[in-house]
Amino acid sequence: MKWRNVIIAALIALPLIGLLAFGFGRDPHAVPFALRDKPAPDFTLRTLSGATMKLSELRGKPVVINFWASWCEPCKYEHDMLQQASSYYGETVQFVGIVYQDSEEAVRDYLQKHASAYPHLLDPTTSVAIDYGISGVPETYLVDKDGVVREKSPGVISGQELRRWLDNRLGGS
Amino acid sequence: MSFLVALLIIAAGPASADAEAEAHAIGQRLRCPVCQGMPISESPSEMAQAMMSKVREMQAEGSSREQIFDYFTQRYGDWVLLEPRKEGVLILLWTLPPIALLLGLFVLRRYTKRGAPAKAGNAAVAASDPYIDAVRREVEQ
Amino acid sequence: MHSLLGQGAVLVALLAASFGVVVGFVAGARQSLRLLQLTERAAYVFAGAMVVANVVMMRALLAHDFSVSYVAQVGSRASPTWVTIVSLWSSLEGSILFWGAILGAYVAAFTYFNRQAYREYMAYALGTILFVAAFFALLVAGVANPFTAMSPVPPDGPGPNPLLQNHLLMVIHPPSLYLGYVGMTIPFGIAVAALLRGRLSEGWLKPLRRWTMIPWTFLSIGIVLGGWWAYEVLGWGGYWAWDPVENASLLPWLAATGYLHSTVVQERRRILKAWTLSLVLGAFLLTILGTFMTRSGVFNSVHSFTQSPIGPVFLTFLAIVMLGSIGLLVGRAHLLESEGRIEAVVSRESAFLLNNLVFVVLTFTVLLGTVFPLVTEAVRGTQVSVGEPYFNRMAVPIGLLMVFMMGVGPVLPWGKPQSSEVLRSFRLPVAALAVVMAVCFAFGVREWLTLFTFGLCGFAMAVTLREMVAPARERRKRRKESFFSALAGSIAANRRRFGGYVVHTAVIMIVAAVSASATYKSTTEASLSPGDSFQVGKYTLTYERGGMKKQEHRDTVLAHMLVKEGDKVVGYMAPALNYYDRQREPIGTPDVYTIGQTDLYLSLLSMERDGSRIGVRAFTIPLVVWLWYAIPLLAAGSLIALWPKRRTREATLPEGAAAT
Repeated sequence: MKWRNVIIAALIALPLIGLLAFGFGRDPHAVPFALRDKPAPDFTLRTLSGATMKLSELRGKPVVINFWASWCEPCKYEHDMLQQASSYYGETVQFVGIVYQDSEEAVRDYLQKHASAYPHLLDPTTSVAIDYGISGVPETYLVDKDGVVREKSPGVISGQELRRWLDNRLGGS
Repeated sequence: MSFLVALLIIAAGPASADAEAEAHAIGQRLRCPVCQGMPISESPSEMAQAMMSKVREMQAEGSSREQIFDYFTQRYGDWVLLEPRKEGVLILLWTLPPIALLLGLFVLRRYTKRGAPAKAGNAAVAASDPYIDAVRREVEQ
Repeated sequence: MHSLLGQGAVLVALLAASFGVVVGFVAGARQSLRLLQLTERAAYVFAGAMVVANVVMMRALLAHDFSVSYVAQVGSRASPTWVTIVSLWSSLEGSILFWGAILGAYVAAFTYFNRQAYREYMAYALGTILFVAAFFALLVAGVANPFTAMSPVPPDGPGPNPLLQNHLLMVIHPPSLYLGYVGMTIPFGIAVAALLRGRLSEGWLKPLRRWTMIPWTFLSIGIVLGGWWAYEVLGWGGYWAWDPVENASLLPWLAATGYLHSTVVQERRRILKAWTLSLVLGAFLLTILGTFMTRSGVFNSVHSFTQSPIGPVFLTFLAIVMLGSIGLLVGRAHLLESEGRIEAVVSRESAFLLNNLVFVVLTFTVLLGTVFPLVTEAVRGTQVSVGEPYFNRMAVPIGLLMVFMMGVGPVLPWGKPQSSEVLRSFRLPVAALAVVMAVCFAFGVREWLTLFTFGLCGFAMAVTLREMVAPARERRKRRKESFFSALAGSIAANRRRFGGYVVHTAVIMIVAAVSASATYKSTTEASLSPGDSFQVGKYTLTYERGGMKKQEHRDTVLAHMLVKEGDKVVGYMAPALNYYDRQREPIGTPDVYTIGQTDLYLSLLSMERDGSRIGVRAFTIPLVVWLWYAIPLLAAGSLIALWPKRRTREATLPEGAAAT
């Protein structure tokens, strides 16, 4: 075998090892957040109480959109925190829950047993979830006062993270 | 009104088989986000079904294949395309295999040419397998 | 108790293997027979200790001893016994432990069968194999220890991943694949020994070939069984999705198949020695890479185990082996000079060279596509997917080239053939190509790619069959034997050649099956209430009623469907959905009904609990069964090729006469 072959072999081997090492730093299940700093897809959905809600009409204050379902175990961990946060921020921030692939009765049942501090919208065709690029529940998005998507949290969101998001927005404005 | 709807359905009828085939073809190139590497046309999950409906809906509105891909990449990034676009670094993905094949052919060509002049010793090597040679002779008779 | 015993056994295995590495290499360098015997003992001790560790784990699983961490992780009192057995290899730690047992069995067998032979190579070979063994023992003793004691002891466990306890194929598919993967360690050891000795004698080629054939056979069968499992369980009517883990099993197979072909040229013409060894090293490296992909959590896949800390350790090992192999090839390969050369561009040897090129290019392409998402993420920070459409587009032309070569190679004579002679022997296969294409066209095949693929299959098949019977025909003519005794005689005279052609037949069947099932798969979806029917191809399917089956570890709902063709009842099908305690999304059990050469495949998508409404997806898929028929053929071909010659014959033939 000649040196040329060695070089070829090394050229394949070393980057491969480097690449695989690079692979450890990432989560193979992560789905990219392509909507960052893009205008939030608008939606008009029915709330559980029968009213309709349109995202673009909420302009002027940040909106936290939380996709969830009653069958989703992890969603239960963040539920109470989100209700408390909504009460804490009051009028300055709008919280919205969007129900992902769940029946209306199940959601009602769930909300009767747990607190509910903000409107929950029904998305029976999953089209809003697709519009936001959902890859499972829970997922939480932050839309700023100008209707631009700023943050996304795949999976359970922590109180600290939510606070960081909102304090940035509210402090900056 | 219902007559109009019926008319629309009839008008859409003959094209729908083709449209469904096209929807399926598009779906095969889109990755289901809640599954693992499966195209939305194959996955039985609700999410994939909903995405397929979105594809059909956009199709009915007259969107082209590219427009549908764009819609999904705006939301899920290039990650959603199972067949990567031919641009940037991705060109390597498409060109390296053919280049490797051509390079290999070139090396092979040189290798076989180098050995072109037959040496006397080779006849002995070739004859070292009595069975094959016998078979070869027999078959060729 | 199990925990202590298991850890003890693993520790013994680790010590034995490490001891064997040191003694083996010293024995190799000094050519000391006494030290070699010591290495052999170390190999036996390693094997014994690993088997003991596995038996202990199996006992712990069957006894539901939840004080053992692995049992607490995958065991469950509700699981049926076969699921409990399967759980030994259903999760990361257990699978590595099981890996150790297989490696133990291989190394013990290898040592035993060569206990009096190849003294000059065996020490290095065993040292190398035990190096790999020591690494796996280290994993089991350290980062992937399944025997950690639990405190407090949980009363019950969750059971293995539902997806993996859904089909009996899980009992044989992973072991078969592991036997393939792990077995590649032996040819790796043999090749390293040849490089370290700087000599590759005719004699040493034989164990190399044989010990590559064995894992190659298991790997081939394992890959097809994996497809079968996916087909029977995943419910989308497919068997291969170019998933990273599937690719990981294909990569070493491709490299090893390349080796099996290049070794033929090497034996005949004494060329390509370094190249042949590179393929062996490559096949082993790819098995380690594949194991890494499945177990490190770097790749997203249906089959991959959960994220674990073994990734970095594994990568270090991969880097050592890879750089070591390259270093060895650089430092030693010049000692393995070619003795012969190639005389003509159109000859059997160039066909083999081209075949090798095609295998290497395909290996490269699959590897490229598999790791490319990492490349783009590293280079430009964006995630991309490389999926089925890419692989199909790349692999189909290369695959067709392979089938073509399968037909051309055997026709070309060795050495310097005369062109008239060559052209004459192409008459039959070309005729077969034309006939097959015409017949398929007449039966309504209009897709040119499929038509061409079938034609090529006919072309290769004609050549293969002719090569299989030609020696027998000649023999019959000469010796006036009956055809069958002539066939038996000619097979016995050269088993490897005949076995190889049997394997070719299996591969051609697989190609035809893949092509037909991909082109003519049709899908219909329907939403039905009891009594409703829908049409799938020429079959009418009626949903009769829903059913429910409560099992200890899961609840199953099934839809009873009646299949009719016209007015004739063809049969009943019952696709099902299984609900497991800890998982919302149910896992389906599709129902497959094979009618003639076509599968009717029903997958239940949804079902109201009372059975009042169901969603089903129905497929008709032709020729898939040929894939499963190919399994026994693959096994038979390999067995014929591997079957040892009677000693008396071997003594009378000169060295190397067994070559194809």
